[in-house]
Amino acid sequence: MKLDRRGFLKFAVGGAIGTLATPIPWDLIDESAKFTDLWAPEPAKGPSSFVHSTCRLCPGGCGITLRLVEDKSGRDEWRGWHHKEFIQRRRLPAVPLRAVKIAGNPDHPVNRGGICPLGAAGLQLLYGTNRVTTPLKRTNPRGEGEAAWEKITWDEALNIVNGKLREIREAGNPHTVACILDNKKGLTAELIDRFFRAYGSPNVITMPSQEDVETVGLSLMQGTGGPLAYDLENSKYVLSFGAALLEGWGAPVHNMMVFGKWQEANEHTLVQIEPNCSITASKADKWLAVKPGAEAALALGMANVIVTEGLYDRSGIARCQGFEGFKALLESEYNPRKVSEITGIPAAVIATTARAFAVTKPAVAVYGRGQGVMSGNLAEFMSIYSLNALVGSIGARGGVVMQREVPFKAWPALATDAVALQGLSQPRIDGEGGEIKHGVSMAHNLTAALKSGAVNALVVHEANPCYALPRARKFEEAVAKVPFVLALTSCMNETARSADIVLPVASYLERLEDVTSAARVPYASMSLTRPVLANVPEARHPGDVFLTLARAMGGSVGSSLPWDNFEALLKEKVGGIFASRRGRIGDQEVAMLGSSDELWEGLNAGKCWYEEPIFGGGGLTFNPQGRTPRLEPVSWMKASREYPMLLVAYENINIANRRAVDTLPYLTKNIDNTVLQKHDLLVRVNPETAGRLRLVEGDAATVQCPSGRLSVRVHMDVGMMPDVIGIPLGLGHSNDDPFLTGKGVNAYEVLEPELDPVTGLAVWWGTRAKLIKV
Amino acid sequence: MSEHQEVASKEKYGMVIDLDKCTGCGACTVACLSENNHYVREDESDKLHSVTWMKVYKVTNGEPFPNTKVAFIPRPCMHCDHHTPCVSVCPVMATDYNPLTGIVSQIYTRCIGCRYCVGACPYHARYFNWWDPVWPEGMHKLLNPDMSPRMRGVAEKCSFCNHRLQKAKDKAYVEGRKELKDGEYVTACAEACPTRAITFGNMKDPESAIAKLIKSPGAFRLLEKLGTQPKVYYLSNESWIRELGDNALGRKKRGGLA
Amino acid sequence: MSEEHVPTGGREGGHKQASGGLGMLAAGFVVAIVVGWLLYPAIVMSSKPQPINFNHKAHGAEGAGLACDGCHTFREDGSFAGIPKLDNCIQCHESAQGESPDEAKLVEQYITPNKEIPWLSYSYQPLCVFFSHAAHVKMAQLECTTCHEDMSKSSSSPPVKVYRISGYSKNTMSMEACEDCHAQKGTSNACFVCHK
Repeated sequence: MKLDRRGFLKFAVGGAIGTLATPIPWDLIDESAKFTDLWAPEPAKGPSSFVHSTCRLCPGGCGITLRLVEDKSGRDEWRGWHHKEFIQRRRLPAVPLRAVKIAGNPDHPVNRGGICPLGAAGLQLLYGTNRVTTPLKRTNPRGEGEAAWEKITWDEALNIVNGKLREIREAGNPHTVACILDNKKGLTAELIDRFFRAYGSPNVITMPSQEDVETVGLSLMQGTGGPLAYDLENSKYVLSFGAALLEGWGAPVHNMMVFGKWQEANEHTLVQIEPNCSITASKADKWLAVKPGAEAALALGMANVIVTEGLYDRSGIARCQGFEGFKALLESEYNPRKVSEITGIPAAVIATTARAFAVTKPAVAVYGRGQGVMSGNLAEFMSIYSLNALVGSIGARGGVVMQREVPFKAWPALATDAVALQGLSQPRIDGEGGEIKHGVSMAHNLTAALKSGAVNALVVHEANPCYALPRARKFEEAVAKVPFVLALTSCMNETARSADIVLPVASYLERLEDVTSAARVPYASMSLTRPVLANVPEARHPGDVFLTLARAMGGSVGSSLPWDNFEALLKEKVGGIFASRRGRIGDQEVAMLGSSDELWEGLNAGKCWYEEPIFGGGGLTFNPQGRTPRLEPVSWMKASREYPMLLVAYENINIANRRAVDTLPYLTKNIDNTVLQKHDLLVRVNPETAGRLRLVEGDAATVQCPSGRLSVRVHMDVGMMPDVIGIPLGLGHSNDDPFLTGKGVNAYEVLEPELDPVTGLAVWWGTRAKLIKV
Repeated sequence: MSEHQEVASKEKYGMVIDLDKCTGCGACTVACLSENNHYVREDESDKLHSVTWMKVYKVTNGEPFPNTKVAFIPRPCMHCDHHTPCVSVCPVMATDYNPLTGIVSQIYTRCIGCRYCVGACPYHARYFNWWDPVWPEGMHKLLNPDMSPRMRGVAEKCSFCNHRLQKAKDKAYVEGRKELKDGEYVTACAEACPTRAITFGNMKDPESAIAKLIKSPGAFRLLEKLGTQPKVYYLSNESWIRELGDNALGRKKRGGLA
Repeated sequence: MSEEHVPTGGREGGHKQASGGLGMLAAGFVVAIVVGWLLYPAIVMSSKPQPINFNHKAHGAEGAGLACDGCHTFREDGSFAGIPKLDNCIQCHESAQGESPDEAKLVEQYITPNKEIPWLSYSYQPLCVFFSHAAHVKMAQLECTTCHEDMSKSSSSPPVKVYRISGYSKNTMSMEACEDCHAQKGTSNACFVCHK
């Protein structure tokens, strides 16, 4: 049989007709449509479970609920088509247990189910690309270009650290070791502090915060150190001196929850006192646009009205000292007319606000700047705090209270040998100590201390001073001069990049730890972060790291820290709460529990221990040790021809500023394009000011400050005070996070701390500046 | 599909957002991103390229310092009840109005990416996916198995977390119930909101919190004059916010997006 | 057929050619049918054996007396667990009960090392689909066999056929089938009833 052309065509036609009667064409059309499904990846399915834990990304301490998805089937269900690997279907290994969602825990007293954007994005920290996955050793000298790293084992890393610390101690210089922590709250921080004291170093220093100035003020006025908390929920009149109540101050979600209740009840008044139209100012019932730095004068002007009109709480004042002197000061220097000149607020407004504050019960005056990282001066705190004494709000329901300590079992006595005692007798390198500066952070002095060669080894635990100390770059240069630097962190940051050894610590979702007393919340509270899963198996609990080091070091260090692991220590400490029979866990009284184990189990099920504050007391000294709270204008308040404007830092709840984590990718989506556009940071300027400088929206400009310059763009904001430049904190990172690096500029670099004339503490929320069109 | 067929359904889901409570923190947005498997690009600081189903707009009364005020308007999909603009224009029925629940769907596997709906939506609630979804190494672990990620080349929008309705119904069915209790089905944004500004629920259930809230004197909807009858209501006692809600530009000299 | 290259203009030649052509047409048709129905499925689908040749018959009514929902259970949150976990097997097969080589494999390879069996799903729905077993089984009271093959009669687990292009299983129910049944029963066919 021979095939000719016609025959072939007929065969083909027959074939074509036949094909129509087969699944081939229909199936392939269908298949080609279904094939496009694979362009999106397919998450593995499996049963869900929910676990309660606690967030520790900020001092708020919210209860969270994690949704976990289990997939132990062994099947690879992550299907998806990645266009770069067009031919090969992408199959990633099945994950036995993964966390897919963080929501607020409705049963937790701090947040009652709400959550903030940072907390909701927490999984991006857990699964982040910026995690440190193994101990790292630097292979090139510090201060010379980009860091090069070598992965080492934990044993090797701890041997190096142990060797260094031993060497310094044996040379009799334990006080030349310094440690920087973000704060000293919680058992891990206490354990690290104890480690260094047993070692012989007094130099465990926290990052600066508002609490430092409060600690000094309170010890002068009341003989106690705080921490202060505010019963906002029950307060009817809240006078906030710049505290970003709705933008991340204190326990952010708690405050927002309270604000939601205020709006429903419609019987609370919030007065926000700050120069610019912040969100809190907008949401407040009244906004008093005070000149920057004149808050203390305004408080004293209000005090003047309350005192001269006799509106103060007489029985409360009877418990106070120095009232007569205070009254004389108010009358001579802070009459409403003069205060009006200083503050820019009309005298009549000062008087009506003061009267409303005095007659509405309960009322409270809140000291604060932004989220609580930036600090003001002592006079400011004392003036504002005095208002609370005048209206009888100290220790009162709806007023300001001292947060009680969590009744953990006390630490056993510290074992100190001769070397330790000798080391501890040395002054702290930052100049802390003495009569009124006890227990505060003078971290602004660290740059000079490191440069002077007073430090042989620097340990930085979960803090980022190379980014977030005022004049950050100068500090980074000083760090380069320290012979040995160790960083403990879960994510690579600017400080870890300057270290010799980096140790990966478990994130808050991977470790068991106490979260004590949400900041500024009136009741004491404690709940646990729980090791829900281990995404970075090499990461260790920092408490365990220091316990291991203590064992290796032996001697007084070893005997001061005898616990096998952090969990054993925590469990023993929790025993103290049970023994105190104080407070409640969930809806149960601790006094009704049968054993400490019951309490331990409850905490491990995600329940929160909490205890109502003790109301009462309220006496203070208005005029402690002759240091009258008087307005002490700092130099940048003064007009200057060279720097006619004021650069004021502000915080944004979507920019993680000095939190346990940097801004996570989801939050970058949330940052408004009036704050950050592509790689440019926008400063806020009043249109009138901008017009005078011939700047229009989006113009490139330079912010020139005494300590440096920043390249920015301009956003015209009608809510800004004329001649003030607003700059957000928390941008301009230079770590290796592709979602964050190079976005914006770091305002910390130009913020020059002024020193408080009484305490020497840094006052650094703003600086003199000039805006130049580029 | 100009007029939706009325069916005897006991459900119609809606949302009320109290703008006087909203502080613009964006927890709703993050909760939505996390719940609905949004990927994040490295250049999310370029807002022209950013996909946000629940977008929080910042608005100002435009008054000069110091009488300025700002407020925030969270904008999910409005799930328009009448002449749903996107449904009307979709050439392939990749989006439809569900008469049982009032929820407007978007089916990614059906969408041909013509973007007619993106242009038709008066609320800018629809986004087009210009890129392949990519999660950095390890980040895929946080994907929610209840929600399908989107492929390149399709339009996408808020679904009122319809998958949560499906799950809530499943639970009710297994317990032998046909109807849901108030609060059993809430969206991720409502669940997250720290000030409790967002209330979600069945508007046809007279006992539900939302049914009472939408009757409040301060309740309004965005661009009501278009007659799309959005199922997202806003509450505010501030008249300047309510005026902005109906696009009072032209009538008013000041105010608008901040 | 025509042996010449010379064109044949006559009727006879034409007729001859036409009949031969019809033969070619038929041959083409037959070849296409064969390729389309026999060869094509073998090419377009991959065939994957189950890890264990599970005998539904021995477990069901005619054997151990288990009902479908004895192993294919609902979870408390209303979701359908689908393929049972190893825990279900361990309840009876802690150690081997009989002589079957598949049971021996189960004990040896999975139960003893406590490793989940990587079963393959016959009716795997794609990621855009939400199928509610609760709605169909608990509310509409449908039998499993309405949609699934009656496995109680089958003593072996056939290999799973998966389309190479789309990754869909051969047994995945098509949207048309879902829609037809919904239309017949008067159930809504709105997109968000089944899609996610």
